[in-house]
Amino acid sequence: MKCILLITLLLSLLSKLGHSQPVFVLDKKAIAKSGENLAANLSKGRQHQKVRDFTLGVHENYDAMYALQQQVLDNLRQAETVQDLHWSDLSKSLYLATELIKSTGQPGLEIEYIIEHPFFERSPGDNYSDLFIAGSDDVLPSNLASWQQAQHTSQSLASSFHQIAAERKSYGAVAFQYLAEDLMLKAMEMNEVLKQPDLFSMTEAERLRLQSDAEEYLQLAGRLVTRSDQLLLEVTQVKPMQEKAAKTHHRLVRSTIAQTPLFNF
Amino acid sequence: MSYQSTEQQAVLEAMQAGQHLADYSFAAELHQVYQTPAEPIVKSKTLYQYLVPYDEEVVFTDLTIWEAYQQTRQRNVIALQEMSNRRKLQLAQGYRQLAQQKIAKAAELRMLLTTDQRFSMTEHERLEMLTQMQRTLQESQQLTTQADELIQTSARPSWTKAQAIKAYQHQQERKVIATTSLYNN
Repeated sequence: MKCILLITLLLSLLSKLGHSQPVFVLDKKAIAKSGENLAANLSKGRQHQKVRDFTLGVHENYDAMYALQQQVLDNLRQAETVQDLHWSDLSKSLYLATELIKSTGQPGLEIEYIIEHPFFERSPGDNYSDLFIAGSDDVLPSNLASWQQAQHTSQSLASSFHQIAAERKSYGAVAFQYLAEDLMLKAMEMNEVLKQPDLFSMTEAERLRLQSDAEEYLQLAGRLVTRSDQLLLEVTQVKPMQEKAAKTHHRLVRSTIAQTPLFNF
Repeated sequence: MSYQSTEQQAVLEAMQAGQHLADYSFAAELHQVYQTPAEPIVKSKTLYQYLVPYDEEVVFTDLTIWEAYQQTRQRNVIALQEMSNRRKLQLAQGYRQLAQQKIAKAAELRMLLTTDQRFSMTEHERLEMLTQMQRTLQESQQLTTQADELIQTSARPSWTKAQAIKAYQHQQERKVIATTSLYNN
């Protein structure tokens, strides 16, 4: 429509140039039409502007959402809030556990005292013949003295197992006691931490679950403590050692009696 | 929902056995060793020496010294047995309380979970919480069983305690016999 307007204008100009006499053409219809067109175009332009603004807004919102998500991910990645808790310190448990199951000295681990029996360093055949006086192919001791010697070796070997076991039990008792204390501390700490509303960002479900975890730790600590007590009590009741103690008692009583004069002249 | 509870405190107190051992003055040394945090190996070795029936490393030649040694050891053992028994009973009580608390918690949780607009969580989480609640009830049952077991194992007095009680009973009976006149004239 604009073109038509321009064309008419141009035509009028041309006609002006072409003809010496200026001719004024007043096409009322065309003017009205072009006015209408102008109004329509303006409204269209406004609409386009609106759409553009809206698109920009959507874009901004999307960017904000993306940034927020990134921030959440970054926050989830941080470990500062749990770094200083006892929960993150497993060194004690690890140390005690490895001490407990450790066999002969390994390089790299500094151990002052190894609870291990020399039994396991010898060949099984030797052990067998020592424990049962003679192996399948060996000849039995020839005389009484060597027989008694063999018997003595066998007995001392058997009782030394009990001694080693008792030492290990006592170590286990201490380890369990320490572990129980550690667990107790952790459970208590977890409870303390869960009470604080802003320390961890987590849902209530997670909170409740962690709390029940803490209670489980508490139960475990109780079990360990009773086990520790039991082990210590087992140390006090080693059969061969009790027999040895009885024998010592008997021997001492006899020697005392032997040394006591019946009549004091 | 309460996050800290007195029930847990009860269990915690049961585990601190120091007071139990400290009650027996004749086992003061053992208490000292048991209570002091030391290197596990050193501590276990010391405890072993205190408690083991026969120490190979010490040679006894005198009867009186031997008897004194055995008496100290026996006293330590007695204190330890009593400590263990008392701790078991206390733990049993704590467990029982925990079990009751768990039941109460489960009921409360069920009520709150089915209430609208209370927790912000998805349906999946909600259902999971409900199964968790089921598990809590099971745990409560286990706890009660554990408490019963603990009580069963410590219900009878230890041998030494039984002897002491019997001796006291005899003493009382003899007293009564001594003051009862044979003939009522």
